[in-house]
Order: sequence, then structure tokens, then C-alpha cells
Amino acid sequence: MKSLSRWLIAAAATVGSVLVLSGTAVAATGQSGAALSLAVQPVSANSVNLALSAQVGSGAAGQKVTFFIQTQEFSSHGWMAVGSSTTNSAGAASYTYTPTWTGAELFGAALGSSNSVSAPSVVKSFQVLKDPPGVPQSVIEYSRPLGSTGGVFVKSILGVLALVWVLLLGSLALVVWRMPRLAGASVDSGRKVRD
Amino acid sequence: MKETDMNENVLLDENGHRAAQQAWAADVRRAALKPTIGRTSVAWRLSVTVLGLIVLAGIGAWIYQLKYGLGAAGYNDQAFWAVYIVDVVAFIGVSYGGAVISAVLRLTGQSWRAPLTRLAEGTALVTVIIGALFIFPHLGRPERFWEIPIFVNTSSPLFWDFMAISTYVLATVIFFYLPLIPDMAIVNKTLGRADRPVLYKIYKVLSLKWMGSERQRRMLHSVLTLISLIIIPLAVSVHSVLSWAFATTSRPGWMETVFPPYFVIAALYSGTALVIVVASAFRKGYHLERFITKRHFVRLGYIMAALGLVYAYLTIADLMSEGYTGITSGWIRETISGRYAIPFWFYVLAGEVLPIALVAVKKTRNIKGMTVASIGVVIALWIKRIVIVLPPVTQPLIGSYWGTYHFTWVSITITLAGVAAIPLGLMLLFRVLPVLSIEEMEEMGELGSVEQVSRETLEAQKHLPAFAYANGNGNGHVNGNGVGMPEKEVQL
Repeated sequence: MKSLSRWLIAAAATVGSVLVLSGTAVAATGQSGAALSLAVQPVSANSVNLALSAQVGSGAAGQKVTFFIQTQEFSSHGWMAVGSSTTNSAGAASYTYTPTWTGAELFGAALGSSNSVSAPSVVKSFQVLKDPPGVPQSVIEYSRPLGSTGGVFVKSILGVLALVWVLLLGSLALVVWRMPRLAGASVDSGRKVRD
Repeated sequence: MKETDMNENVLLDENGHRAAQQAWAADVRRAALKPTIGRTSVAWRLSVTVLGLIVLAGIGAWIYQLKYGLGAAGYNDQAFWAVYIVDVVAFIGVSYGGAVISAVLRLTGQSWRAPLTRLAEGTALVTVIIGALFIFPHLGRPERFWEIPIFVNTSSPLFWDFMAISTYVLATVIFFYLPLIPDMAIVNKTLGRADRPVLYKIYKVLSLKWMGSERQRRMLHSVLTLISLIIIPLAVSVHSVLSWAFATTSRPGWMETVFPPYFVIAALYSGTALVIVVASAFRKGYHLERFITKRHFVRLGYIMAALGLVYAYLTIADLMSEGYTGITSGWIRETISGRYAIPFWFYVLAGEVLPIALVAVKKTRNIKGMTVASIGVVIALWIKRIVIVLPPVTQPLIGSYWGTYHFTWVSITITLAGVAAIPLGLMLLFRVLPVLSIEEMEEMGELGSVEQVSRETLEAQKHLPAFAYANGNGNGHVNGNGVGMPEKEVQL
């Protein structure tokens, strides 16, 4: 079952890649006649942010470029537009993206706005590393939301816990102390312990 | 008129009612006290010996693990949590079922609960102690356990586990002890000083001079109601805290908001199933067929099936919510179609489809059907905990190298020792304490439930040797020995 599912995923990814690649040619020739390329690299050496840089031909200014990342829902993959920008006089457009998890990531770009394109025409893989050197904080290491109020919270819970212990032990103590005294205190209609 | 109808008419007759009550009370006492004051059978001694040897083997395996480290149990860099935390969750979980079932039925005044309460509360007590003890093999440095309450670290889930479990153990002990007070007075009077002098003294002290007066009864009822009210949220909190030990750990598949109710329902589900299994085993082994009848199993079966449906829903919610985002869903693929697919689908079949089908189909809605369903649930829910623990813990956070966990003879032996300790603990417990709640059973007889039970008994015993209440003489039953019991010797 495991190998079958992996084979299916691999097959779907291959078919998807072929479709994406064939889409590259169509989009490139259909809209500008110029090739679109994509580069992904950290904004700076110590930054977790990535610069997604697209190049449209040479000097094709004012063109809209939409950037994508590949998402995964259960075992299927899909493209999600993360942002867009317009090419400058050199035909370059860039977008800064903050990755939210580590590992191999697929980025894409396509000419056009996110309303007109739903898949990239060029794809680039990039390995996102956890905690690049020099970065003091990752998303996980940000200060915890209960950091300031946690002390009061903890004391409250300990207080409730102490109350529960008092109730439990108090009830037991009450029974142990009071029950023998009630034995001879009444002659009533209750059922007696029969021999 | 058929003989059975005649018997029922006689039973319901005004004159026969009191005799039936007396006979019922005598039967209850005899059945409840026989395991405590009677001689043990060869089968009982053999069972205790075998179970005791398994427990000793488990202790031996733990000593081996102490010498060679957690690696002896299959733990490694990736699988830093594995079978022992599963055992902690599973054993404390089943204890929750026993306690809550008893508390809820007590609070709602369900008189049919009476034959089950002692077994349910005893199961809760034994399993919570075993579950708490499983924390020790789970720890890499168990000799430093004492530091948990001394050097308090409130940021650690382990501290809160310790607090929650210790509170729950205290509540379970009190919840087990209080209904025993009247019964211990009865045992004390029945036993006599000469038979077992040490036990006689213990019962005398613990029965707190119980005389059954109205004021004593009122006080006991009030305190029991309070403890029942406390134990339900306490049990919920214990399992929430256990789940937070996972949910506050930054692992895919664990860090989820659904975990507290997920764990609580799993505990209730498996706990109800274990109560059915224990009731079935003790009914057969201790000859309690007259008191624990088909309706007990069917009603518990309904509760179990409802909890099973809720648990199935939460399982889907767990997989869906994280699977949809796809961010860290590798463990889901491994669970559904990867290396953990067989245990996962075993849970689906044995832990959901089979029990719900057995409860749904009228033909299988009987003692045997409910017992089979419950055994399936208990085993499947333990395996489900394995599926909850291992795929997330072995999923890589960087790279694509999946960790592995392999069971070893050490982890298997220690786990089997825990399993064997349940019947062993219960058998030893009910060697010194009544297996039925005599006081509540007699109260049930006074409330008139005896008639319904007797009807069922008569119906169920059409083909058994006659020892029904009524003997057809219009005075209700009193057999030769005057205590309304079958002549058949009760064997433990």
C-alpha cells in the first residue's frame, strides 16, 4: 500500500511537471514572446526571507508577474499564489517571501496577475533550512503568548488543585471522624447490619 | 399457564415480595462473600500463579532495562517516546472509564448499576495504579523521580502529569473505599474473629463502626455524591493533561487542539469496554450470572457504541485538520497507507466497525457479542495509541529520513506484565473485599428492582436447575437452606 501510494504521488507529480513545463512555452510565447526565468535566494546571508526574482526577456518593463508556492493537501499538490510584482525597465520583478517550514520547497512564477493565471510557467526548487546561521529567532522561538500572564495562570491552577485535595482529604477525614460517632447516635428505621 | 408465568405471578404477589427481598439479600451476600471468605479453587490459585509469574517477568525485564538503558526497549534518537507512554495513556484511560461510568450512574440514580459498581471501581483503582507505575519504565532516570515534586518546573508537562495523576489516584482510592464501608461491616460480622484475625481487625477499623443507621447512610450518600461530582471533571483533567504532554510538544501530528477531547473520549471508550470485559470474566469465573445479566451488558454496549462513534468522529477530525493544511502531513500518509497502515486499519475494523456492528445487530446484542466487541475495543485502542505516538515521533523535521521503532522482548514483557497485573490485581482485591456492592444491591432489592432482575433471572434460567425465588407455594421462594441460593457450590 505504501509503495502504491508513493508510486501514485510520483506519477501525479510527473504528469503535473510535464503540464507545467508545456504551459511555460504557451505562456511565454502567448503573452510576451520573451522567456521567463525564476531565481530563489535568501535576501541576505543571515535572513530567513527569500527573494523570488523573475526575469522577463530583456527590458520588458511594466509586466505583471505572479509568484507561487506549491502546497500539499493530503497527498495531492496545488499551486498557491503568494504575491505579485511588476517588472522594472530591466524586465526584472521580485517578491520577498518568508517560508513557514523547512525542507524542499517548490516556487513558481507566471506572467499575468493572480486573477488571470492559476499555475506557474517556470518552477524552481529551493531547500529551506531551519534557523540559518546568525538568525536569532525562528517562528517557533518567538516569545510564548502566555509568557507574561503564565505565572498567574499557573498559580490559579495550583490553587484549584489544592482545593480539590482539600475537598478529597476533607471528605475522607469527615467520614472517618464522624461516622463512628453517628453509629450509636440514633435508633431509626434504617437497615441494620445483619449478622 | 406456563410454569414461568406462574412463578412470576407468585413473585409479584404481595406476600411473596418480602420473602423475595430476603432471599435476594441472602443470595447477594453469599455470592459477594464467597470469594472473600471461601476457600480458593485450584483454577484460582493456578491463575494467580501464572499471572504473578508474568508480572515478575516484567519486573525482571525492567531491571534489565535499568542496567542497559532505554535502548533495550527499542528507544532511539527518533523514537524518544514509544510503547511505555502508550501504556501510561492506555492504562490510565481504561481506569477513567470505570470511575466515570460508576460516578455517572451513581449521580443519575441508576439502580441497575449496583452489581457493576464494585467491579467498575475496582477496575479503575487497579488500572490507575498500573498506569501510574508505567511512568517509571518510561523515564530514562527513574531514580530522580522524586525531584518532580521537589524541584517544581511548571513549564514541564511531566510536572502536571504528576499532579493530575496523583490527584486522580487519591480520588479513585477514596471513591473505591467509601462504598466499601457498609460492606466491610458485613464482612466483619460474617467473618468472625477466629477465621482470619488480621483481616477481621482491618475490616473492623475500616468499617468505622457502621451500623446502617439513617444518619450514617445520609452522610455516606452525601460524601459519595460529592466525590462522584469531583471525580468526573478530575478524570477529564487527567486525560487533558496527558494529551497536553503531546500537544505542547512541537511535533507534527501532536500539536493539535483536538487532543484533549480526543484523549478523554478514547479513555471513556476503552474504559467502558474494559468494564464489560471484567464484568464478563468475573460473572463467569465467580458465578455472578444471577446478578450481572444481559441487560447490563447491552446497556453498557449502547454507551460504548455511542462513545465509539464520537471517537471515530474525532479521529477523522484529527486527520482532516492537519491533513488539509498539508504542512506536516507526512505522518498521515504513513498512518493511512504507509508503514503504520496495518495497525491503523486494524483499529478501524476491530475498534470501530466490529463493535458498532455487534451492538447494532439485534442477534449479536447479547453477553457474548458485547464481550467480543469490548475485547476488540480494548486491543484496538491500545494499538491506536501506538499509531498516535509512533508516526509523528519518527517523522523527520529536517530531511527525509524517517526514524523507526522496533518492539523488543523487554518492552513486550513489561507491557504484558501490565496487562497481567489487571486480572491479578482484581483477583487479589476481591479475595479480601466483596466482589459485589452488598449494600447497594440490597438497597436495589428494597427499591423493587429485585422484581425486574428476578424476572430476567427466571427468564434466563429456564433451562438451568431450578433455584428461582418462587417455588409455587404462594410464599415466594425459600429453598432448603433458607437463603434463596442455588444448591450449586460456588467455585472461585
